[in-house]
Amino acid sequence: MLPTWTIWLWGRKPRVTLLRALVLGVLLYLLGRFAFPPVHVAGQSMEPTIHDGTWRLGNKLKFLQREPQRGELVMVRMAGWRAFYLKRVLALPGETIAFSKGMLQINGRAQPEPYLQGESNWSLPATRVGADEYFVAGDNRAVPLAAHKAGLTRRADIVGGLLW
Amino acid sequence: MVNRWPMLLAVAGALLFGAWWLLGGDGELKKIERQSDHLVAAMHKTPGNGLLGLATRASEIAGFFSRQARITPGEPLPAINSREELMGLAAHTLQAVSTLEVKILDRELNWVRPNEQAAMRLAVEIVAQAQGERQKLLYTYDVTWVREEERWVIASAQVCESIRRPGTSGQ
Repeated sequence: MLPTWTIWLWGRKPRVTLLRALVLGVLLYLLGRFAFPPVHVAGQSMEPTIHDGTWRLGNKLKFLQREPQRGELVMVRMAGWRAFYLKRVLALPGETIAFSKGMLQINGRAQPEPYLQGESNWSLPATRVGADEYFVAGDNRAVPLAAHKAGLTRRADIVGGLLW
Repeated sequence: MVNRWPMLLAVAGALLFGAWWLLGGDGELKKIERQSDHLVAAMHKTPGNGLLGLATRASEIAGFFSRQARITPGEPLPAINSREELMGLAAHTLQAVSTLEVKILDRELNWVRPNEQAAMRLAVEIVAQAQGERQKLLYTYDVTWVREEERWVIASAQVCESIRRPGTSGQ
């Protein structure tokens, strides 16, 4: 007869409990690694939409069946699978993007950005986005464009979006 | 009563082996990763480091590179074509900053030629303080490691950004 504390900790069948724990651990690892990675936000480039130091859940399955759309948040690969840039898609493949006194222009037309708060003075001459590229930027436009990680990224480097 | 322990142990062993394989069980690749950890640690500077210590540190950093290493460290630093040039740049940089901290955010390492040459993509965060100003920079590098006299050293390193500013070549 097992002691009460053992039953409380391991259940009535410790071997089955151990096997279940191992299987659950592996499943959680695989889910986090290949599908829904927990994301710790470090940096202020997406303020005020996403705050520095907060936790989110990534979604690596989001763009497996479709392409990213303008305004969507995307995870852009840095090196391996642990760190990503978190940015917003501003321009799609084949489009021309420009900034004039902080206003976004796509193919020569002003593009509203309802997710922005505060002033921006970004200025960028008309730039054509390649056939396999997207233009991405953070929402924190108070940071000068030269100091902000924004620009063209290949479709292959967009590895997912956010689940929440 | 059926003894299920052998089966359970076999399953547990398979799971542990899978975890080991996923986490990178190749000994030589692990050595290269440790070399990159040591290089990053050698770059750290805290206030109070004397000139002699900095010169020694610069020499130590250069030792992680091959004699004819080619490095494109990214703006504002110039391209480098030898270990001697690198040593000079490292000494100059360590003197110019009051503190320097380099942190590896992520890396991906694969064989080009097994046990001879490996390719690493490395994302680093560099925090430097100079003349009262603190700057944080993110860089991604494509690094080629080769074996030289039984040590893994860097033959080439160039900036490779997945988000590149228009008008620049990120790769």
